Amino acid sequence: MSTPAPHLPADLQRAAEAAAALDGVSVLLPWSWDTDAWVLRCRLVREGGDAGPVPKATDWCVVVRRYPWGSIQFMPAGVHSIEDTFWHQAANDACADKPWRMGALCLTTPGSVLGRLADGHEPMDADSRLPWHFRRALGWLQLANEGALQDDGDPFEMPPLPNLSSSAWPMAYIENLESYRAWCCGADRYGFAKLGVVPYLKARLVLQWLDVAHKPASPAVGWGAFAEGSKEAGDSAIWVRLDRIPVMRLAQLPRTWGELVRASSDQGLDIRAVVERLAPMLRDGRRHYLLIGAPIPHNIGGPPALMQWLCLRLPSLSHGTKQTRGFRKGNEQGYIRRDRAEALTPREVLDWVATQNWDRAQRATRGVLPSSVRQQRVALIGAGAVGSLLAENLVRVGVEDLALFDHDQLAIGNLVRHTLTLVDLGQGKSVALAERLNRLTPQGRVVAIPQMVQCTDRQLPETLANASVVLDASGSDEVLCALDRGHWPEPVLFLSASVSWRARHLYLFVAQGHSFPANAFEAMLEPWAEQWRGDDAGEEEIWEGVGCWHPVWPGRYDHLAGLAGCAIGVIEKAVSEPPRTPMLYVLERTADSGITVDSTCWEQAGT
Amino acid sequence: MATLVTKFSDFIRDIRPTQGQRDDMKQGHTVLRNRLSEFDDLQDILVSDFLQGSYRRSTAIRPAEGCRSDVDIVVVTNLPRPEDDPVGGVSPADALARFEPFVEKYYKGKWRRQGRSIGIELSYVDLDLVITSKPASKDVEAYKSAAALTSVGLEEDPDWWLSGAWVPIEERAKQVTAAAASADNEWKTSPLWIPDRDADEWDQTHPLSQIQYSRDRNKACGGLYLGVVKCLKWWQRSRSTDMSKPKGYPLEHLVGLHCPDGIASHAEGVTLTFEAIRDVYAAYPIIGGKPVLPDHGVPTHDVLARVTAEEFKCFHSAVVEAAGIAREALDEPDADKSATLWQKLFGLRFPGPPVVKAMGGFTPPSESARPKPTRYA
Repeated sequence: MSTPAPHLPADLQRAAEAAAALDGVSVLLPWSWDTDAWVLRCRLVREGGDAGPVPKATDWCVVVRRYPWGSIQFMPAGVHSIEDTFWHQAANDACADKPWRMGALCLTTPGSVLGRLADGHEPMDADSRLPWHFRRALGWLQLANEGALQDDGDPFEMPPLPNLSSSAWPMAYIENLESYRAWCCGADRYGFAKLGVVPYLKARLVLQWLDVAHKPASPAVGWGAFAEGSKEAGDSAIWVRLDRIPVMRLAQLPRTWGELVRASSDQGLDIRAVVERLAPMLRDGRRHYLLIGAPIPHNIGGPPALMQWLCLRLPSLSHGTKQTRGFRKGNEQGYIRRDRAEALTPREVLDWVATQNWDRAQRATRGVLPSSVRQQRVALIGAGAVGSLLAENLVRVGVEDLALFDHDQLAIGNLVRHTLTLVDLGQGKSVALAERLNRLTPQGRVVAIPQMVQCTDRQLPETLANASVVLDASGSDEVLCALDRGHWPEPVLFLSASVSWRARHLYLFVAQGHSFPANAFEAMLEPWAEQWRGDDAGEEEIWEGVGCWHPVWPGRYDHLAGLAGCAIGVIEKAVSEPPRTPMLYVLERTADSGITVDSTCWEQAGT
Repeated sequence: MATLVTKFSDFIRDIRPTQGQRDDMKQGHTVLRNRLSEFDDLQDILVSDFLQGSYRRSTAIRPAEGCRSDVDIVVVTNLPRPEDDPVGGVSPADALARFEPFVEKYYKGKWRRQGRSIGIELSYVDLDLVITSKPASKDVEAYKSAAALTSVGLEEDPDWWLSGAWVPIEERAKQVTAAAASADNEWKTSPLWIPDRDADEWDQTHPLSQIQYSRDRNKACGGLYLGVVKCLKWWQRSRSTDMSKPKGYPLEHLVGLHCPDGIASHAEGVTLTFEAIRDVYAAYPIIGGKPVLPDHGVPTHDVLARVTAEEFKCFHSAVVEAAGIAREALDEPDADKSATLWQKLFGLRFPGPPVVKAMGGFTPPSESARPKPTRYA
């Protein structure tokens, strides 16, 4: 629903006049209101001579929303402008119902070559913002014409996908340096791929790469535990490996089947022949996918570092009785002929689908633990308030290999300070928490063991014996006894986290060794217990609800969450530099909502 | 006169390597020796391997913060020296090189050549591998005996002796005749040859005789000698900013020479040793020289060879000061004041006088005791 045309804001008018005063800018039509934006049609004359891919003068529709706060887009006009997609530009598709094309210029990319032509940061005040964009647009035109929009060393960018459907689910895959190396060792240039879907997930997953005989091909895809809940998608995919991203020219990906075939045969691969060869497995009336992979570097001009996948949805191929006249049902030659004439004609517009690399390296920019810490095999004993907070923190900052031990079930009272939700009531805490944590990361492998570690067990559970970091958050002395009695052949980092009454303190005990040093733990914690027993001695026991009393301890979620978050930093340091002797870190909440960390070392002889 | 027997026992227990460190050392050398015995390419040249050093003599102190424990292992080979066999003789550098495939296989990335030995860096322990040339043929039986190969230190087995009749402690109780621990029926072994500091030439050493000497001194001092050595080593390390040498074995050697027999307590042993060193070497700092101390097993070696006269002078003046404090502490009848004085020498690890309680006496509780857990999760 379009809003009625308002009055042209004065600051926009002023800004436009300032822009129009720039060299090379001339206004063709006055501001007009289009649905939700003001549009100015203007002509930009770039610097330099007439030669080059960009005409000297080009027409633009400048689309402005909620000036000066909203977006400013320079769209190539429908006529007298550029039709190809250049770098730093959206896919320059034609648009049926607007007088402009869809190739909006990217004028605000930080650190790009554009920065060298116009002042660094985008000013947001009304007088300067629009003229700044015009200056940038003029700069863009000049660089585009010189082919200088990208420089060696700039981060590599993928060309934008033309005609991208916004409603289709993206195709998610996992690729990293290791998988790229595996691809390089393989000889196959094409094959099949098994796709999967997970009930709640709005994406398709590339579960497994297969060769033409449907046997597993390398690399193996390292999906985490959440993918075990996947079902095979009804559709499948063909994959093809090229040497380079198949651009037509500049940043223009093929728009039609004919262009794609041409672009790939320029690289020596006949994509049509590949599809025809593999088509017999895809003739079921469904629309399957074509995955096109090519190696890309991290930075332009750099060595290839990653396999990047493009994906398009194939039309439904000839099958059954949809045959060429004169050929029997089932005759492959006939199907191929019909495909060439109807489904995969040169002018068939390609139905590109967005792809996403869900590898951990791609998701790490917002902040994760260093890899030496992330790669530990962690066993967490106790999935209560403290355990669930520590677990959620650890998984979000990148820990993938986590085993949870807890025998208890989630009750309504727990929700006040647990990371689980109403959905999980009545379930075992470890099971529900593992399920939740496996949904935090596509590569997480969190397992649940719905039992508590007991001192009378004959031997340690296997998952516990294989851990490299054992984190006790059970608050139970029996668990510590079991860890003390156990023996790990390789030294393991032991951590024990518990809080005091009202979560005033978090005690984090850290020791490295072949078993948990319970003596040292008791000795180091005792002075703290003595000190704070006085504090809570006057409090009544806490009752919750009606009925028989059971032990409940007070501790607010925000307090626990702060302490748990702070503890992660201590854990990170302990894993990176294991202490030579046991240490006790006491995190204390101060009166002004800060947290102080105090640490002591274990001094005595260990006999 | 307060001898503070318990405090000294506690202190000495606290300055020796921790149980964990001892476990690591034991594990490290046991595994290495097992691997040696299974490494095919070395079987032709291996005669024996045994432990030497402060670990074996039980005179080691806990490593400083950030440092590791050391275990010294001697590997006796049958490689002849060039002096004995001009044709087939092997130089020290070549002998060490023979072991490089072994350490490369099992300790890749963790070993390095250190002049006369191969150092192996494990997580908490450093192993030092010294290679010897062929021993005298009369000594081979001794070097292969159970007595030589045992990894038990002198503290655990003060009755250790180098003889075919030696049996481990746990079996001694069963054997009626095993009580005869006597130096009379010990093997008299000759020194071994190991690479010199730069692995240019073969040089003599006699680790077994050092162990025997320490055993004898310890017996003569009623089992207190090993503790006195540890105390002085700890004292030296706590003063290491003022004086760097002598430390380690040379310091132990000095204690061996000057700790008198028949001491009744560690306190007495420490005091008398300091006083003896102060008095016997009083002249050297004045004339700007240092004494020559022949090694027990190889008398041609001077134990103080690598200590300069200047360093000896600093050492001596520190000993003078220490002797004074120790004598004061030993003669002080009040136990608490004495403990405070000993702390001046050894630092706060020496147990001080107990902290005085603010309140004494028993107060009846005002309400019934309610045990409450103090940690939650």
